[in-house]
Amino acid sequence: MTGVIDTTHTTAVTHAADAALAVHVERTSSPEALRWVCHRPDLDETPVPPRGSALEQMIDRGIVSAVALRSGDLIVRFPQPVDSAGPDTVAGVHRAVVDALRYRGWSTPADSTAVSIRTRAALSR
Amino acid sequence: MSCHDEGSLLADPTATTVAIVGSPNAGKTTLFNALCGLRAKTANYPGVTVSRREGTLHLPDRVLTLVDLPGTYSLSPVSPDEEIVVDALEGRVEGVRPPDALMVVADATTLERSLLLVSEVLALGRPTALVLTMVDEVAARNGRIDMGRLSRALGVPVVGVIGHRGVGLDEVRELLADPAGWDRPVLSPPTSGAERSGWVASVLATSITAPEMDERTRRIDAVLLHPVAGTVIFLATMFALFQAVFTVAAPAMDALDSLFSNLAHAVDSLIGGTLGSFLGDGIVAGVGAVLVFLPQIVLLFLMLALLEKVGYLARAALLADRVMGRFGLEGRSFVVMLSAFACAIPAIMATRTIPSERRRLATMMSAPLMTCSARLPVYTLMIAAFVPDRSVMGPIGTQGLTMFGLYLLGALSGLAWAALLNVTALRSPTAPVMMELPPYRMPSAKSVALYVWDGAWAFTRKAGTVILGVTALLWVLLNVPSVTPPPGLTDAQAASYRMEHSIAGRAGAAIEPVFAPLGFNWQVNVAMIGSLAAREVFVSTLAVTTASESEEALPERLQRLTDGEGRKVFTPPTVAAILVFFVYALQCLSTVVVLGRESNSRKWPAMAFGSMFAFAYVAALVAHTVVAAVTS
Repeated sequence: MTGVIDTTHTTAVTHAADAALAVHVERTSSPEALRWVCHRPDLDETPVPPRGSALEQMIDRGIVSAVALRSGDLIVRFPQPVDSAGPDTVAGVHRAVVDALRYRGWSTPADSTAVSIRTRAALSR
Repeated sequence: MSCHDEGSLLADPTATTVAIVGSPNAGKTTLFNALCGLRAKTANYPGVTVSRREGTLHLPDRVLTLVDLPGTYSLSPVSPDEEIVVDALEGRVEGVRPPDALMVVADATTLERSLLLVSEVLALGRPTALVLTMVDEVAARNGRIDMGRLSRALGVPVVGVIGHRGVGLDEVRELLADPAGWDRPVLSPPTSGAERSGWVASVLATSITAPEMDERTRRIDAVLLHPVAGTVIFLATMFALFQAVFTVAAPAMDALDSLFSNLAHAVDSLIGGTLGSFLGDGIVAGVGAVLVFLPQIVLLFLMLALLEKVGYLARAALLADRVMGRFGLEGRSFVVMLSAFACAIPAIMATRTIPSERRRLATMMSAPLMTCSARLPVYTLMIAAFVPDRSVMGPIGTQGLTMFGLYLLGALSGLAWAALLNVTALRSPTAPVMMELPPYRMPSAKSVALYVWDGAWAFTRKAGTVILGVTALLWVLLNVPSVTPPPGLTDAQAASYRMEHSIAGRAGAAIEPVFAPLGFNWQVNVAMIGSLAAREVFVSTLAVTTASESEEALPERLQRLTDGEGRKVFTPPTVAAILVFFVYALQCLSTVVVLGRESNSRKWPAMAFGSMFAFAYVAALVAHTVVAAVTS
C-alpha cells in the first residue's frame, strides 16, 4: 500500500486549534523585544495579557516588562536583551504565550485559528 | 566517484565542515555539484555501506568541506540511509567529525513538508541555513516566497536558488564564507507533532503565497495515471525504448564493428606471431566485440535519464504499485527495479531507502533478474544473428519484439521471484509507504549528459578492466598448450583444432555432458564459463573462439559455425536456451559481492547465485525442448 505525496495539487485547509496553535516567535529590531506571530487580529481590542494568566504573572515577577498586541501579533518586551535572558526564559515565556492564547476569552469561538494555509500533502488510497 | 575509502576523511580534516541535509529529490546533489564541481569524492561511513560524498569549496578567505548526506524526509529514521544521516548530524559516527554547520536544501514547491525537516534540524542547535531550490517553479505557478520574511520567521539565513541555471549560487557561496556568523533562532521550533504543525502553519502563513495547482501536470497525470490508459502508455513507452535501443543504435554499432575488426586485423598483421594474435584476435577483437555495444548503452541510459528526469518514472512506480503489492513489494521497489535495467549494482544499493528489512531483501534478490545493460550485448548479438528482421506492424519488427519479450520475461520473473520469497522466507506485513510525485520538468542537458556519461563510462571501464582481463586470460587458456593439428586441415580448421585441445577447450568439453541437453558445444561452454565473471565476456569469448573461422562480422560467423561433424552449433533451440539462460542466471561477480555486502550475509548471495543458476538451467532446458518440438 503506497500513499502519495502529490506535490502538484493544492488544497486549502484550516488548522483547528485543538490540533495546534499556529504560532512562532521572531526577533524584532529591538534586542529587548520578541514578536510572537499568532495571527490573531481579533485580540487587538482585548485586555493584554489576559487577567490571571501565566503571562500576567511573568510581568508581575519582572521576567517580562511589557506585553502588547500589534496587528494580531504579541510583542513581548524583556527587561534586558533577549540573548542575555537565556533560552529557558524565552521558552518559559513561549509556554505562557501559548497558554494565554488558549485562555478563556482569548480562544476563538470556533476553537480554530484564523490561519488558513494550503497544503500539498494528500494521501491517496 | 567510486573510490570507496571506508571511514577515512577525504578532505582536509581541519577545514570547517558544512553538511547538506534535505529530502530526496530536493536538489541537494545538484547544489553540491554546482558548488564543488566534479571534485567530489565518495567514501563509506565506517561499518555501513551508506556512502557519503565530500567536496572542497574554495572561497576567497577559507576552504570549506561540504558533505552531501543521503536524502531524508525527517530525523526519525526508518531506513539505513536515514539512520546514518541522524548519526552523522549528532556526531555518533566513529571517526567522522560532526559538521560545524548545516545547510538544509528544500524544494520550494513543497515547502510545507520540508519545514518539518527544517524544524528538526533547527532543534539540533547548530548554525543552520536554508537553501530553497526550484524557486522558479513557484513563481511560474503564481506562488511567491518572501525570503526575508521566511528568514525572520525561521531565525536563520534563507537563499533561493535555481540549481541547474546557477542562479543564487553566489549568494550561497557568500553565506558559506562565515557559517559561524549565521543568525540563529531565538527559540528552537517545537518538536512534538501538533505543536510543530502549528509552527509550520504559522511560518508559512507569514511568508509564502502557495503556488497554484499545476494544471499542466494535473492534465498529463489524468492520462498517465489512468489505470487502463496509463498502463497501455507505460507498456508502449517501454516497448518504444527497447525498439529504439535496437534500431537507432545500429549504424553507429556497425561503424564501431568495422573499426575494431579492421584494428584487430591490422594489429595481427603488423605485429605477427603469437603476440600479434594475442593482441589482435584476443584483446582487440574480444574487448572490441563488447565495446561495439556502447551506442546501445548510451541510448539506453539517455532514454532512462529522460524518463526519470522528466518525472515519468515516479508515475510509472505509482502505476506499478498496485501490481507490486500483489508480489509483496512496493512502489519504491519498482523504482529500484527500473534502475536495475541499467545495472543491478546501484539498484541493490538503492534498496537502502526501503525501510522494511524483509522487503529490502526481497527487492535485492529480485533486482538481478531485471535485464541489466550487461545482458544487452548478448541479447543483441543473438537476436541480430538468429532472429529474422521482419516487420510485424509498421515500425514494429520481430527483433524489437524479441528484445522487448526478453525484458518483459526478466521483469515478470523478478516479480514472481519476489512473490515467492514474500510467501516463504521473507514474509512481511504490508505497511503504508509514501512516494513523491514531482511536477513534470524539462530536464537540463547537463544533468542528462552526466547521467549518460556515468553509465557509458562504467560500461567502458568494465570493458577495459574485467572484460579485458578475462578475455586475455581466456585467450591464453585457449592457446595453451600448443598442439599440432593433424595434416590436411585448412587454416581455420587447424586453429579450431588447437583451441578445442587447449586448456579452455578441454574445460568446455569436460562440461559438455552438463550443457549438452541445452545444445551448447565446447565454444559456448567456454563462453559461459567466462560470462560468470561478467555477462559481456560471453560475447568477447565467442569473438575470440570463432576469430579464426573467417573474417566476417561476429553474427555471421556464429550463423555459419559448425561442430566437428559439420552440424550447425547455433540452432533455434540452442539460441532459445542461451537467451533464456541469460535471463535467469546471475553471471556477475560484482553483483554477488554487492549483494553480500548489502545483505550483510553470505547466505543470501549464495542462495541467489545457486537458485538462479539452477533455475536458469531448467528454464533453458524447457525452452530448448519446446523450440525443438516446434521447429522440428
